[in-house]
Amino acid sequence: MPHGEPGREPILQVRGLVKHYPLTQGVVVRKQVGAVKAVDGVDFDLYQGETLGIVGESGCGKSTVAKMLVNLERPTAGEIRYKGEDITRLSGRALKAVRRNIQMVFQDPYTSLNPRMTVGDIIGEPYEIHPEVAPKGSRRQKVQELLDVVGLNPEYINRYPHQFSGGQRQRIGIARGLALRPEVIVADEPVSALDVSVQAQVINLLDQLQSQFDLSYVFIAHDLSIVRHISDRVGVMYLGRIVETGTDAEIYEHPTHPYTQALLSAVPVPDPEAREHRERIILSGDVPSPANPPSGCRFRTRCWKARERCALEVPALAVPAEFRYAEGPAAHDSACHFAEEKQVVP
Amino acid sequence: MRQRIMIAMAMALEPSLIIADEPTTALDVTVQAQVMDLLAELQRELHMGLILITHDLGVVADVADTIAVMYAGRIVERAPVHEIYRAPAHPYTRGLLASIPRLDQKGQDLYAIKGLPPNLTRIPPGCAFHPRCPMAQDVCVTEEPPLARVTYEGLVAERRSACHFWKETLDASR
Repeated sequence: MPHGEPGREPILQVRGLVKHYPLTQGVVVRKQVGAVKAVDGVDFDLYQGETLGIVGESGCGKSTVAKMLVNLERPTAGEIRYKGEDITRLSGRALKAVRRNIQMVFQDPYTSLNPRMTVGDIIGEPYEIHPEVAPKGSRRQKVQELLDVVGLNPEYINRYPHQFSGGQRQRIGIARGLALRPEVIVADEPVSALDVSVQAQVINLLDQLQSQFDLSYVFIAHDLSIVRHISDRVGVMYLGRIVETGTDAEIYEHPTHPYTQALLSAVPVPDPEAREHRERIILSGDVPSPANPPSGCRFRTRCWKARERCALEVPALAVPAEFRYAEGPAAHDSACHFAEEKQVVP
Repeated sequence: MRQRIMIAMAMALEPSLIIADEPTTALDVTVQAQVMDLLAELQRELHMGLILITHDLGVVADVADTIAVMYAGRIVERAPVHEIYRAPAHPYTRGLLASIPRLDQKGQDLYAIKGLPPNLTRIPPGCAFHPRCPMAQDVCVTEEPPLARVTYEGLVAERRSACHFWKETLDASR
């Protein structure tokens, strides 16, 4: 699997990405009384041919990040640079050209395909918007090629989505994402609606397509073991921010942020032998509302290490001071004032 | 929090058996850990039986004593938790366990059970799993395997598998 090298130019650079949804009050005179801070300052890089996994629990903002990457939502602030160019400022023809290169695979293969359209029309629809990719006469053939690429029978082109199973529908969604030959695919929980036995088939397909077309993936999921399997690097999100990021081994074997540690320790391991000698960190309470996040470190209300400083100072996402001059896997970005290495996965 | 209320309601009459149907599927992992902790604690304190219905092989490994695996309307394997994870005796169980991403498989293809679960109005004859099974023989198409007793040296509790070739499956997975 290809890896992102820091020396290379990233294909996507995200800096200070923010999305606030206004909360309004009043019917006649609407006034803003606050904002849901769905995403509140997210930075990451994506390199050519690599997979960046983003994990986090519901409401942490990972899907909002995905929508901003493909321009389905406009950021409140921040930059998304595609090959150096900030796409949040683009409009018209320039925006259209960039959007072609960043495509999305959606979570739910039951609602993301129009039931009244044939598979051929669904996969071919991107060509209506970008006719330069496939001239009218060649479209049917292109769609059949795509069906073949994702492991579906090209003769199914005239069928409707309801004639397919969940796994097959997700393959249709992937074929649609590939139609315009994009360089970046944003996959938002692409297998979480599928059966366990079918998930593996779709993950293998995504892996194979990545090497075949040199794709870069942003892979968003809440299933930590699947993210680890497919990702070169992983970012952990909590309440609108990335709290820790590093290579898969750095995050899974040497986590330094308490939230990552709690998250990893909460994942049930499919091995009954691990039951006795596993330390579990049980967090208290629920995730706070993003409309009113805690001051300072957002995780402090559920953190067993929290001290006064955590309420006052927002910890920056950087290599913590105690690891800065150290070599080794603990020296990766972690937004915690009291970062400490702790192995939680046996 | 809502799931705690549901648990409280279920406990109100001090039952001797609780049936929890996918109690944590809609929850995030950190909350799932809280709820499973609570269930396990109540079970210990009140000496209740617990039937936990789930698709998550991690959750059962954590809490169950005995596991029954269902496929197309039937129990295809039943065994003590440690035994089933160590050496499954049914090819479906074996496939499920093999398709979980493991650390040493990074960069390789995941094992995938071929095909799809059957339509329940047209369950295949014989063993319902035979069209997807790597070990299927002619007998699997014609004869439905009974949930037969599995025996081997060192096995203390009862263990059963509905596979004509449970012995071969067990040997292959050990």
